[in-house]
Amino acid sequence: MDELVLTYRGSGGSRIPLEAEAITPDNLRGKERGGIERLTLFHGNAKVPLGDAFEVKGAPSDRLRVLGDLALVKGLGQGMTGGRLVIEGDAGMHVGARMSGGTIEVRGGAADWAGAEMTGGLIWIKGDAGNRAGSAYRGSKFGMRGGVILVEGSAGHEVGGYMRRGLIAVRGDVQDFAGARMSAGTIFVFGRPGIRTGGGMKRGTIVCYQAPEVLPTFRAAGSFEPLFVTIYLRALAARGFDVGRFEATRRFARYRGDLAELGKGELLVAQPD
Amino acid sequence: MQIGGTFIEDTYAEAFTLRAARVLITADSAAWAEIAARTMTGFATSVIGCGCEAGLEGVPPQSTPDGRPGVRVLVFARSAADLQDQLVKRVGQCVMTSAGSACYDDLRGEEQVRVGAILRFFGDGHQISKRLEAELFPEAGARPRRLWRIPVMDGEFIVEDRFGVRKAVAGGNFLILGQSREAALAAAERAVAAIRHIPGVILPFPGGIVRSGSKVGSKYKKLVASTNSPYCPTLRRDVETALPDGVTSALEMVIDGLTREDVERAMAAGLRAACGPGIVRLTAGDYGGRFGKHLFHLRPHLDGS
Repeated sequence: MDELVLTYRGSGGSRIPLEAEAITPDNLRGKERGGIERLTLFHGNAKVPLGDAFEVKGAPSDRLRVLGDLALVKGLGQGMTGGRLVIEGDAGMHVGARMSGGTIEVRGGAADWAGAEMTGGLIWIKGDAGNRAGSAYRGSKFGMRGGVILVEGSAGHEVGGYMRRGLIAVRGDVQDFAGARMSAGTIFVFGRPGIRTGGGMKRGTIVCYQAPEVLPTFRAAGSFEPLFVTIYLRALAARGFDVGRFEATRRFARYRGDLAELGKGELLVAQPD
Repeated sequence: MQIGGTFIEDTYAEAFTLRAARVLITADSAAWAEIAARTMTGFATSVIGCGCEAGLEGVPPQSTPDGRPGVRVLVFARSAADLQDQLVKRVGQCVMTSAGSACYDDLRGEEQVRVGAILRFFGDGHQISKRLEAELFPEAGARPRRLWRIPVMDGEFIVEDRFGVRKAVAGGNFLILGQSREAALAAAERAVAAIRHIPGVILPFPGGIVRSGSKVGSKYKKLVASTNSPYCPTLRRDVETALPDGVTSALEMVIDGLTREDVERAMAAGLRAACGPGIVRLTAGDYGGRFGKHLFHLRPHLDGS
């Protein structure tokens, strides 16, 4: 199968990030190699032809592989609508932000704002995610409004902040304010949650497999066996996201909140069998 | 054509087009899934009097969305609007009320009808929707599925927002003419057992068998159908009978299927199983092509089976 391979030549010691929003399967599909190499990227305020920053190999297609130390390469796959982008290693900030379709696989970790305000598609981060994955940009009303973010490692602060729809699953720990001010959607935290989980949430669901510090503005609402959790876990497992022992957990304590807001969100906390 | 001493008449069954939905009901046990399904399919033998035809598919699903035991139900009605009306009533009154049940769409159809989207109001404002993202649930196609979580007294009732609807074939049939009531019933039971192994079909009548087959029209103007007098043994001397000598009992098999091919497979399996001792003849409801646009000739199905 045809695949276009871009190998990052490196920053040459510069700490200024490379703005690489142009690198999406949509944007590169159907272009000649010369056209791809002439695409403009920004290094600080300097325009850089893509061909100067990346070595371009392979055949143009909607399958794209990016190699190299990409921790300072921002916006990979930003706004993409389809195709497949594989990032071999760490990705810089804003990977897959505002994407609406397609798949991004990050084989390392991802910096802040991964999948921010995305509306569709899948971002699968094999390592850790930074802060504000799937959340809203400052001043925006909503964070992610569709699609799926899977994190095999841990995630930073404000995961799913202002989330409106979609699914985020984090196998490891998350830091503070997960799901803060979310208005819908579902977040799974299989590791240890940080403080103020769900703070200000209006609606939506945060499923925790380790007990969070529940805010006083959440009200305990008994326990039950939510079938939809099983449905999600089976789908995650079928997709290859290992949920292992968590699938056996059936009973969850339910907390309604945040009562400082609409109070129709829910925090589901796994109960020991 | 004779099979096992039974004569297969050179005729055809006439079937017609209805709209179908396929409902997957799960529960804590197979027994409870079946209770919900059987309750939902009660009083659903004929679109003429019941508003829909419904029944349990004999082949159980390989897997279910929640991993619990499940039963598939096919529901047939005249139009998508009728189907929506029937599904809302039957899922609402018979499945939602059944302990531990959940109800999913199991048919990607040409069109969709709203079911959970209407039943959700039972939640009185406490219902919650969950959209199943296409990236995790690719079987849904481009349109993401939506589940409703409706709070009920044993937890939550999960029901799909919309159900797929597809054109389907209803009214495939054949008649079993026996020397005795016992022989005809035994043959019909054999046919039912054989058809149960065919996916995509149901036998909507009690036990899969019809004893009161009907003909089109009646001497009474208000009735669109009346007893199939040519096949009633007690009317042998009152009307022009269709019963050969020696036949004292007739039973009918009615088959509804998702596709013409499903109905053909079921008819072939049922016809072959019904042949045997005490069965004089197998025939079908031939109305001269006026009843339905789908014609199922009996003999070619047996040749090919």
